[in-house]
Amino acid sequence: MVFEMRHITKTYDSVVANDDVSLHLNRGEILSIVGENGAGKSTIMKILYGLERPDSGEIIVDGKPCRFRDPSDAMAAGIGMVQQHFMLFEDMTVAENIVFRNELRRGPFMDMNRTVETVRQISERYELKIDPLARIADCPVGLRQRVEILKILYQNAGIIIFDEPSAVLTPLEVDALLETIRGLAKAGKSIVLITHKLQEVMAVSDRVYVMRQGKVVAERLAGETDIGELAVLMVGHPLAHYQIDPPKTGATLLETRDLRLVENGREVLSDVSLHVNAGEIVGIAGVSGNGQSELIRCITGLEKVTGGRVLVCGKDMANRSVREIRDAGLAHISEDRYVWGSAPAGTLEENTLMARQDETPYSSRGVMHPRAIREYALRLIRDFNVKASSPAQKMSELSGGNAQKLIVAREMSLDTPVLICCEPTRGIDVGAMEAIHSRLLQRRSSGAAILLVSSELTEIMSLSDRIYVIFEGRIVGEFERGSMDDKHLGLLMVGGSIADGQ
Amino acid sequence: MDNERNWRRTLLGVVDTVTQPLIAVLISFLLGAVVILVIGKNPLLAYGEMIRGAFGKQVYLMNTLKRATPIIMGGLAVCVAWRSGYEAMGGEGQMILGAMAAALVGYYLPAPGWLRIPVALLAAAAAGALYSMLSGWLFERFDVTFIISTLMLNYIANYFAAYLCNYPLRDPEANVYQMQNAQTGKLPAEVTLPPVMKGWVHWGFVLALIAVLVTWFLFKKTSFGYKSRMGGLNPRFALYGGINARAMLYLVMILSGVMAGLGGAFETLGSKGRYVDQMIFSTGYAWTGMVAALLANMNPVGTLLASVLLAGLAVGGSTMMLNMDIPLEVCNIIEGIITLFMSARMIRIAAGNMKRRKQAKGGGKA
Repeated sequence: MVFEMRHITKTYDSVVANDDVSLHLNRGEILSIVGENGAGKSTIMKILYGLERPDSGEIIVDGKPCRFRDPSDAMAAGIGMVQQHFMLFEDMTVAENIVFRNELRRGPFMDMNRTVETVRQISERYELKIDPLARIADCPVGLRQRVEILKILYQNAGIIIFDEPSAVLTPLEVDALLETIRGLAKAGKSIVLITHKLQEVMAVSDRVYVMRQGKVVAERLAGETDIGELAVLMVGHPLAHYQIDPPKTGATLLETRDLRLVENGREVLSDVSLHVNAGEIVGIAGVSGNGQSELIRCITGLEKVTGGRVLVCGKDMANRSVREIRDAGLAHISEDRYVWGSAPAGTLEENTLMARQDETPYSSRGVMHPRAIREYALRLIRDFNVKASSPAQKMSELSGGNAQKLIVAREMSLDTPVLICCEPTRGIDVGAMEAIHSRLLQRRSSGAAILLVSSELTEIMSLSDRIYVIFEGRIVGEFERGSMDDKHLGLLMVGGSIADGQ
Repeated sequence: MDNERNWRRTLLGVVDTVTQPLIAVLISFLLGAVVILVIGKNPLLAYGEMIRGAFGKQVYLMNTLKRATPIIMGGLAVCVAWRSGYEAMGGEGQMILGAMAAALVGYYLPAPGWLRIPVALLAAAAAGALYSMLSGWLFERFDVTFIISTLMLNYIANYFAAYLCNYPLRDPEANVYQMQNAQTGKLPAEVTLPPVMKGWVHWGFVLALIAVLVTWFLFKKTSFGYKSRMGGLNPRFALYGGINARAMLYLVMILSGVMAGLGGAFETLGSKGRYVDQMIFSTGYAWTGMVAALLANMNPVGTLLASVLLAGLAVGGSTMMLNMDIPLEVCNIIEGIITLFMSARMIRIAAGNMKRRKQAKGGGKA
């Protein structure tokens, strides 16, 4: 065992990034840590590399307990990390970058010849071909990553952590990288690979940890698992299904046709066509970061679409203002309650009034009616069992679950034909979650068209009548309730195909 | 959720917002007292003299209120913009153009005197509003930070007005003594804002009081106030709720500019009777207004009180200087320390605004 982390817990403000995480690495082993964005896998490695300090727990390297104040401590203990963002000097040569901070000197000067020779030797020993005298600015991304790896090897690290190393690489470069990783392990280095790309994991790893919501939820030997199982572990098991009547669907109330979004030259959404009928809940399943947020922003008017149409109750609303889209009959529970869904420094009244400020009886001819506004806030608080002391208290004083309930209450009370519902239960307790779910089902039976986005597969599978799977901005599958199992869904979500699961 | 708890919550809120500025003022006066002690005078007597000189006699009080008038308007301009999340500091430039517009219309408009006053006020409001919209447009179109654009535009306004009153519009008769600042032509008596009563402050102060009430009403009672406050608290939330950010930006900038422009007009029509070069710039009315607004935490009524306090400090200070032989700089020190405290608050608000707006502009990528 080259290192062991025991019971590590780390919180940022109120978010638990790592919750009692324990893991270890064996000598010469390639270990993968997989999980969705925000599962806590980067945090745990930042703690090991001295970039973050844990709230509690201990780190043992080579049998000795360690406390790293910063990366140089970790480096001294033989731990190196290849970050997602390279830290290289563009105008200096490969060799200069590699020896930076540990320069070979002759007297007060840098010994250039010896530097180049040393770099060449390391490069040959680990079969990482590189020209020591090339300028970084002239190197493609794959080579830069190689320089980062050589930097760590030059400092004689025994443990090398890769943080999402393939995120920036082309497919060919990825193959070369995986080859490099295998070679390093063969040469006796111990490797930790952080990623959410399961194909790569299966290609190189000996052992895998799966993290979800800050916890290690599973440990598997690579030979004893497959992509399908890992995918399910990553996004969560479905709960017992709710008792749900078959949908009584009506007209199509929400539809997108060939929706495209190009951001900074990158195609974030490609020809997304979907529809939601009255009386059904349609789920969008996907690993977060595959275009769901952008899709919802395009539908709700928060982002301009590059092409395609968005029909709300039959009217084309693409690139119209949020006001017009809401008036066309759409309400929107946003994915992040404090970023989009509320003003934390505002009062509960102010937060429940949003989107209704120009409606009677809350205002007339621009003058507000405080009594009606207060009564409305009180009604929502009562109807949705929000634990609050006064409508005049600040939103930020509510617990996360209660704040979420208030936002759900506000958007549901708009009583629109279309309801967009993003991560409605993220980070809230089971009680609040069930309350919100039963509200959603109520709206469904009263004939609303509900589009549900959630990174919790559980939630999607138990509530949705139909499911679209989104991967890298494309709809890659569509299923009716009961016609899919979580394993296939999980596979599609990580870019596999049904055949991979057979 | 009973009424008593609501009431207590409100009270606690008020105490909370008032404590910090009160402490700032208190410390400033304490430090001022130290300075007075060092000079070898009795600070209690000196402050007594200052209070008497600011509020003790009708003449003094009226002087204070007269001085407070443009400060109140400058303060309201800041309240309107800052509460909505725009850290605009263009009150000075807008006030200068308002003062100049009022002076020109008042002097040159071929109309009876009673008509020239409202037209002059309208012209001042329009000048302030347009100038304020310019920085709003620079922000919307080119992403120019308000702090930069408004500070720069202040200089442009001041030198433009200086050019006008030094060259094309200079009143040759007035400038008999070389030391005097250049001026525009003197307004006829019927085109000035007269005292409310004999020996009282001019009508501009009353109009400023009305402006305070209007601002308070807009903030507290209208959906415009609600929308602007939500935009200030969380621009992304406002966007999400369907509030038209662009419309709000311009409405807010116009209202803010109108306040500052009218402040300039009140000074021209009620106090100076003409535009005098540097009359707004050298007195720092707009900046004192900003300090008042910060002291009041962007509350219009509080801004009124703070403005009167700060005006009283300057007016009472002169009496203190005359009667006790204490240099006027003591008052500058006190005001300076208050400003210093409030700058800390200002930087905090402005930095927060800029961060939130940047996030809102960048979509969801926080």
